[in-house]
Amino acid sequence: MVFPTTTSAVASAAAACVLASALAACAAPRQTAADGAAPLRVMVKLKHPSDDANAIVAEAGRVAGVPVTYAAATSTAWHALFLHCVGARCDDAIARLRAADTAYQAVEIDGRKTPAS
Amino acid sequence: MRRVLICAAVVAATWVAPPGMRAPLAQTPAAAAPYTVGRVIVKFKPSSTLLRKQALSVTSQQTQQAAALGQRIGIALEAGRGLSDRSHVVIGQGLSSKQLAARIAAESDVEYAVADERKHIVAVPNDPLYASGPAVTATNGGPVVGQWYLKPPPPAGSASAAWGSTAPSAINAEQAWDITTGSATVVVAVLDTGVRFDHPDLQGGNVLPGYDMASEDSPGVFTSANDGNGRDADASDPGDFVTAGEAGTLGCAQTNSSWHGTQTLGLIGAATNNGVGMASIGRTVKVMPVRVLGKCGGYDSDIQAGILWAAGIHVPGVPDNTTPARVINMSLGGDAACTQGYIDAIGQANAAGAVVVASAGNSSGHPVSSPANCTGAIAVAALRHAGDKVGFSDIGPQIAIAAPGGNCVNTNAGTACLYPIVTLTNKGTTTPIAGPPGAGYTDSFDASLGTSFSAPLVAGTAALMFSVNPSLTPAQVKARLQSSARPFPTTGGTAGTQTCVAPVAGVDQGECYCTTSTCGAGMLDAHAAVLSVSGV
Repeated sequence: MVFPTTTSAVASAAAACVLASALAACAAPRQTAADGAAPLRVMVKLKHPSDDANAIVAEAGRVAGVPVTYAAATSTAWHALFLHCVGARCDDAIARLRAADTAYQAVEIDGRKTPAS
Repeated sequence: MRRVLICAAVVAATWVAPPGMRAPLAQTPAAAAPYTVGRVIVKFKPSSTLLRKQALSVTSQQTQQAAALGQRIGIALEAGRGLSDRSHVVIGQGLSSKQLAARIAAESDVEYAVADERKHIVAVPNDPLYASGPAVTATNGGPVVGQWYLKPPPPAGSASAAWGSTAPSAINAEQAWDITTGSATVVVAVLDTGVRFDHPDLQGGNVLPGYDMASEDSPGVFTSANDGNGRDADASDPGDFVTAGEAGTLGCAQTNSSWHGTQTLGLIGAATNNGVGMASIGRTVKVMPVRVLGKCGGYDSDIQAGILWAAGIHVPGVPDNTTPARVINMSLGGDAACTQGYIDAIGQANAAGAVVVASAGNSSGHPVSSPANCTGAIAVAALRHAGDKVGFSDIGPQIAIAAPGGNCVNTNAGTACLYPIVTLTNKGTTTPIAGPPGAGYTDSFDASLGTSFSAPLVAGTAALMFSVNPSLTPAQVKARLQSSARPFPTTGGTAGTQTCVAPVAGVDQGECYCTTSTCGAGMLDAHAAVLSVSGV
C-alpha cells in the first residue's frame, strides 16, 4: 500500500476518506431486516398503557402507514417499535404517529447513549 | 495498616433527645444494667448557676458541678476530665452514654451534652492497590498514589508538596467507613455494559446476578448486544469491541472492548479488605449489573427499561427484580435534551425510592449530557486531583455535585498518568479472557479517566448513606450530598487556569476553577455526607 507523503496529498486523501466514510455511513443500511429495509427504532408512549404487543404493533402500523414490528417494552406505557421505512417515509410515519394524540402521548426516536469515558 | 482516628465529629453530631422523649430513670442498679456506664461531655451555659465561682480548685468545682447536676437528674454523677471553664466530662452508671447525654441535655442551663465516644480504630483496607499501584515501568504500573480519590484530603489550602498520596478532591471514604462499611441490604444497580463476574476482586459475594436489558437492533439482529440474543438473565459482558465493518454499519468508531461496566461496578462494589487488588467505596453493599450498553452504546428504551427494572418496577416481558436498588448508577450519556422517556423513568424510580446518579459527560466543557440533565438525576461532574474541573468534564446548572474523574498531569506520550482512577478491567481486547488470567486493573498507562468514574463515587456514597439511614428519600440524599460537600478551591490548578463559565454548545472549556453554577454544590465528601444522615 502506498501512502501520500506530501501535506496536500495527505489533506486531499483525508478529505476523501472523510467524504467516503460519511457517504458509506449514510448509504449503508444500519441493519438489514428480513425484508431488506433499514428499520427505524422509535419509542411510543401510549395514552392507554398496555402490554399487548400485537395490538400495539397493529395500531401503530395503521396510524404510521408503514410496516411496524415490535422491539421491546420499557413499561406498559412506553414501547420500542421498528418502523420499516427509509428517509421521508419515516419522517411522514413519525409525523402521523405524533399527530395521533388520542393514541400516543409522546413519540420519540429511540436514540443511543454511550459510556461516559 | 491501621490508623487511629478521633471521631470528634461523630461526637458533636450525636442526637440529643428533647425533654419529652426522656429515657426512663434507672430505678435500681440491679434493674438497670448495673455495669452500664455513661460518659458525657457537658457544656454549661454561661448563665448556669452551677458555674458560680467558688474558692475551690478547678477539680473540686467540677466535682461539685457533677454532683449537683446528678442530683437534679436523679443519677449519681462523677466528674471526669475538664475541657474548658464551662465543659467537662461526667460519668454515671445505669444509662448508656447517649441516654445520659439526652437526660443532661434537657436541663435548661446546659448548652449541650453529647456522648463521650471512644476513639475508633479505623481499618484502612488492606487491598494493596489502595495504598499504591505497582512499581512504574516504561509501559505499566502505578499510580504511585494508589486509590488517592478514596483517602482523606489534605488540610484545605495546604501546599501541593504536602499532599503526599492524597489530594484536595479526595472524597474521604476512609472516615465514612468509620461510620459504616455499607449494608448488604442496600443494592446499587449499575446500568452499563454488563460485568465480568469472574474477576477475582468480585468474588466477595456482593455481586447480584442482575439482568441483560439489551435488545435487538432490528428483528433477529443482535450486533449491538453481541451476545446473540435480546433480553435475558445473563448480565455478563461479552465485550463491546467494534470491528471496522461494524463501525460502518452501526455508525460509530472501531474500538477495542472497554469493560466499562466492570470498571464502574468495581468502583462501587469490588471486594474490599480482602488483601486482593483494590478497595471500593461501597465495600459491603450489593452491586447489581444491568446490561444496557453493547457495541456503539445502547438504546434509550433499553436504558429506561433498565432504570425501571432496577428500581423494582415491572417491565413487561421481564421477570421482576427481587432485589430492588436504592441507588442506580449510569455512567453513560449522549448529547441531547432530556426526553419524556427519561423524565418518566427517572421520576418513577425516584418515586420508588431509588436515587439516580448520572455522569455529566466528557465533551470538554459542553452542556451536561442526557440523562444527567434530567430532573431527578444527580448529575456528577469530574474534578482533577487539585479540585478544579478536569478538562474533559461537561458542566452546567444541572450538575448536583463534583467528584474525582482522574487526570494525568503528565501529558507527554509514554509517561505515567499520575492521578487515574484505579479500577477493575479485563485484559481481552475483543472477547474477554476468562478467569484470573484475564483479570486486571487499570493503572497509569491504561488509565481510567472520565465522568464515568466520578458518578460511581457519588453512587457508592449514596449507598453508604442508605446503609446508616434506610428511610432517606432520594431528595434527601441529594440535599445531604450537596450540603455536606466541600467548597471548590480557587487555587492549585495548572498555571493560568481560569474560573469556569456557563457552557456553550460546541465550545470547549478545559480545566477551570469550578463554581456552584457550573460544577454543582461542591466537592463530594463521603464522610461528611454519611455523617450528615447518621442521626437524622
